[in-house]
Parts: sequence; structure tokens; C-alpha cells
Amino acid sequence: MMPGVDPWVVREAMRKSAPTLIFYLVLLGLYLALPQYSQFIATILFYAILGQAFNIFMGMTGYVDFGYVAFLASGAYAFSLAAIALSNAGITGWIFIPIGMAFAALVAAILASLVGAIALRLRGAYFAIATIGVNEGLRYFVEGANLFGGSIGLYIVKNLKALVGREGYQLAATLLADLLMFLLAAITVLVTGLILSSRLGYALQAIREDEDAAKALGINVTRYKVTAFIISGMLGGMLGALNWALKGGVVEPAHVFFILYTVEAIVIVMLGGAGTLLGPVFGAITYIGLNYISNVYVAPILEGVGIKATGLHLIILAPILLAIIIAAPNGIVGLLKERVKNPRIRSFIT
Amino acid sequence: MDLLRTEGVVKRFGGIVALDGVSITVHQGELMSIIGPNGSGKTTLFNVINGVLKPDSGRVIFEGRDITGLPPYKRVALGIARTFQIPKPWPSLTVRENIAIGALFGSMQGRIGARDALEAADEILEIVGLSGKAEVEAGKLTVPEKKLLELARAIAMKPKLLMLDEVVAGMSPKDADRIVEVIKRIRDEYNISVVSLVEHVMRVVTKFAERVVVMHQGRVIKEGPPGEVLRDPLVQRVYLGGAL
Repeated sequence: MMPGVDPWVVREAMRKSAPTLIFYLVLLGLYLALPQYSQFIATILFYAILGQAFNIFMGMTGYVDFGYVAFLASGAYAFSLAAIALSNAGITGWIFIPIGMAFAALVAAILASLVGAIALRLRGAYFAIATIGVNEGLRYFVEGANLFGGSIGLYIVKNLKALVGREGYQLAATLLADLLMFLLAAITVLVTGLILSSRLGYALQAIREDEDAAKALGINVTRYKVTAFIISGMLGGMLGALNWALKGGVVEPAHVFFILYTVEAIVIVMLGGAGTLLGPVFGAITYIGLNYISNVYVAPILEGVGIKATGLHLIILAPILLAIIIAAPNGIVGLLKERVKNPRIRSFIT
Repeated sequence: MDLLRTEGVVKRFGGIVALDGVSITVHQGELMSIIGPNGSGKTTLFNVINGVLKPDSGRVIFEGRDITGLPPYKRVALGIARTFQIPKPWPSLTVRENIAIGALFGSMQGRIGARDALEAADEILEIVGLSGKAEVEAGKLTVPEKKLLELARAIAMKPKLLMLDEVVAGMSPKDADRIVEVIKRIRDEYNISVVSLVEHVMRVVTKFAERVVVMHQGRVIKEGPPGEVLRDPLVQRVYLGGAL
């Protein structure tokens, strides 16, 4: 059932992924060429991967997982716990990264299987509500039961230094973490391309378009929804591990379970174009761009007239989302597909 | 040989008895119509055969095997395909993709890849005469075209039993004839059994069906060759709204 066997599917996946991969290559070039903007680009990258990974489930099935950030959190915790265990056991060296990432993906997959097996029996809004509960429930459980550092969280900088030394840590938390993020972005794109070109992708799109028809026409809807949910969750887990545990060295529950990340993922996917490959990249660039403009240009003006405008970009999130749903339900990629008539160029808008 | 048999199927919705002990048989390779006025239980029977609804009692036997407890996707894999009265295409996917999904998850489930499914779709587009619309989004088709697409998608599933829910309702006589032509052609080509639900279009029933089953208030009240059944006074009373 999983893609990868059929060479035609692989070729199709490559064709569909190529334009997005080129975008990431350009972003990588900018990252390397413009060190003064590297963290701005890394932020765009984080949100692009967030959208890309979220898109695999939400974009393809139409189900909105409001608890998605729980996968990022579980990955961040898993990676940190692996790093702590390895440093305590005296198993030093770079091996902690592949082990930590594998553990992050595994824990996220387990969480996704458990949540998916139960919540994916619900449809539409009920599913969305149930998943909010999962995220908030997990967070308060971690804090209340004083698990993994409780509400303070895990600080693993000293463990990372013990594993790869002071200089190794400097490298890991900066350039290496960002480069691994680029690698994760490429993996996420290729996985999306493979899904879209294979049986799984067709099943998911049929479910999104009309689940009753999908069911009556032979699609085992639960199985495919759970599969997509697990894949999306695993990629989210790896993103959380890289972004908070490796790059930040800190995993705080108030941060890694912050529901805003899920909302941002929804906005990015909708803005760019749900179910598409280029969509999340366009969505992330637009969203971060708007964010930047509102915080750097608009907020100071408002503050000049005495209005304190912290979090201004949050206030504009809702109207943006409304505007997209009304004016461009298929997002930026949808608009491009409508405008571009040339079939050669069209084939690059994937 | 009997392809499908229902035995005393009962289905209630709250206090309403939608199916009240329905036993029908579908023979191998036959063209059969189930007719009956609105609310007679035809579509409910389809949903029970297809597995979307579970009957309260009674059994569904397909190729001699009791399939009453199987979920829809397993029944589809055994070779039961259907269309919907109100077409349910996957609107933002192309016509070609819609049909390919039929092929991917039909009776060839797991034995056909995406590429072969898309190729199979092209062949079927040819058969139903929708080739010109292959790359059009299914949601943008006209109603008769959507009905053809539903039919194409069901054919792509390579069924042994094809169940058509009001496949010609609301169509012009010309479009209806075209659909009947296509159905006859695929029956002859693949030797499948076709059960079609018809509420009103009697002209089509007589042209199309080799055998007719009449349902009324959740029961089978008559069956036989179309000419004979439609002349039956009881059947005529049912259609003209007289008391039974």
C-alpha cells in the first residue's frame, strides 16, 4: 500500500515535488548568502515545514486537527529525553541526532495512532473539538503530574554540550539545526509528492471531496485517514524536535503546546492552497511577510498615537482567514491555477 | 446462477419500516429493474446491499456467501458497485481522476497501481463518451454528464453487480437512450448483472429491463417480465395512488 515500489509513482512524485524543492533550494541559497537574514529565513522555513506537514492531513482530507501542535511537542520532548538519556549513559557523539529524531518520530507516531484511532471516528467539527482537548489535556497533564520537568520543562543545553562538546553544541544549535530543517523540508515535500501520486493520495482526496461517496465506493476511509494522520504527526514531531530541542535547547510546555502554532498552520495552508505542494511555502512567506510588516511598520505607527500593539498580527489573522475563504477558497495556488492557461507553466503549479 | 440474494431484509428508521422483509434475487448477467413510487424502500435496499446500512434482520448473500456483516469497502472488493441518485462525484478532482479512483478501489483493490488506473479511466471515458472532458473538474459537469461520470466510475470498479440508482431520472430522452445503450454494451462485454432503480421513467424500464421487481411500502408486491408487470392492475394502482 505504501508508495515507493512503483517507479511511475516515484517519477510522478518527483515531477510534482520539483517546483517546491526548487523554492527550498533558493531559500537555502539566500540563507547561506545573507547571514544577517538567516534567522528571518529560518522562521519562514519553520512555518513552511509546519504548513507542509500539517497539509498532509488537513489539506488532503479536509479534517482540521486543532491539536496538531501536540505532535511537535511530543517530538520535542522525545528528542530531549533521548539526548538526556544518551548523555547520562555516556554515549557521546553526533549519533544522538539520528537517535533523537527517530525517537521523536516514533513517539509522535504512537500519539497519532492513539488519537487517530479514537478521534478519527468523529466527523468535521466534532473531530476538531476533540483534538483541541487532546492538546490542552496533554499539556495540563505534563504540567500537573510534574512530568518531564512539569511546567518548567526540559533544559538540555548542558546535555547537548556533554554529548558533542561546547563547539559542537554551538554548531548544532545554529547552522546544523537549520540545515537539518532544510533536509526535513525536502523530505516532507517528497513524502507529500509520493502520497499525492499514489493510492493513498487518491483515497484522501476522495475523502475530502465526499466522504460518504468514498465510503460507498470501496475506500476504507478510517484506514487511510489514520495513515495520513500518522505520517503528518511524525513529520510534525521531527519539526518540533529540531526547532525546540536541538535548536533551542529548551522544551517548555507553555511554548511547545501553544495552540497558536496550530492556528498559524491552518492559516498558512489555507492561504497557500490546501492539498497542494507549493501552497504551504507561499502561505508561510506571505504570513511571515504580513507578520513582519505589521510588527515592524504598522505597530510603531500605532504606538506613536498611544496604542500598544503587541500581537497586532494576531488580530489580522482572523480577517485574513475570512478573506481567503470568501475570495480564494483554493488559496494562492488555486488563484494561480485559474489565471495561468499555458499548460506547460500550469504543470509546474503543483 | 444467483449472483445476489436478499433474504427477508428488514430495516427500520425509528417507527418507520423502510424494508419489511424484502427477498429478491439477481441472476448472473441479467438486466433487472426495481421500480416503485417514492418512499417504497428502493434506495434503502440498495444501501443494505451495498453495506452503507446494516439491516435489522435478514441476510444478504453474494455469490453464495453471507456478506451481511461486511463493511462497504469489502463488498466493493467482492464486486459490488453502485451509482447515486444525486450524483456524488469528487468535485474538484478531474473526471479522469474520479474514474481512476473507481478503478483503484474497485474489485481490483490493491492489485492495480495509480498509472494503470488512470489508463483504465481513459478507456472507460471512451466507452461512455466523455473523453473530451477528461481533464475537466467533475464539479463543473452538467447533470447528465455527472450521471455518465457516475456510471463510468462504477464501470471502472470492474463489478460483477452494478447497481444504478435512478440513472436516467431527469434526463432528456436522447441522453437516457445513450445511457441505456452504454449499460447494455457493458453488460454484454463484461457479463455483469445490472440492477437499476427506477421511479418514473416507464419507457426506459420496458426498453432496458429483462425482469422487473415492484416495491411498495417496503415490500416486493410483484415481479416478472416488464410488459406483464406494468399491465398488472395492482402495480397500476400503486402508481396512480389508489388504495391497495
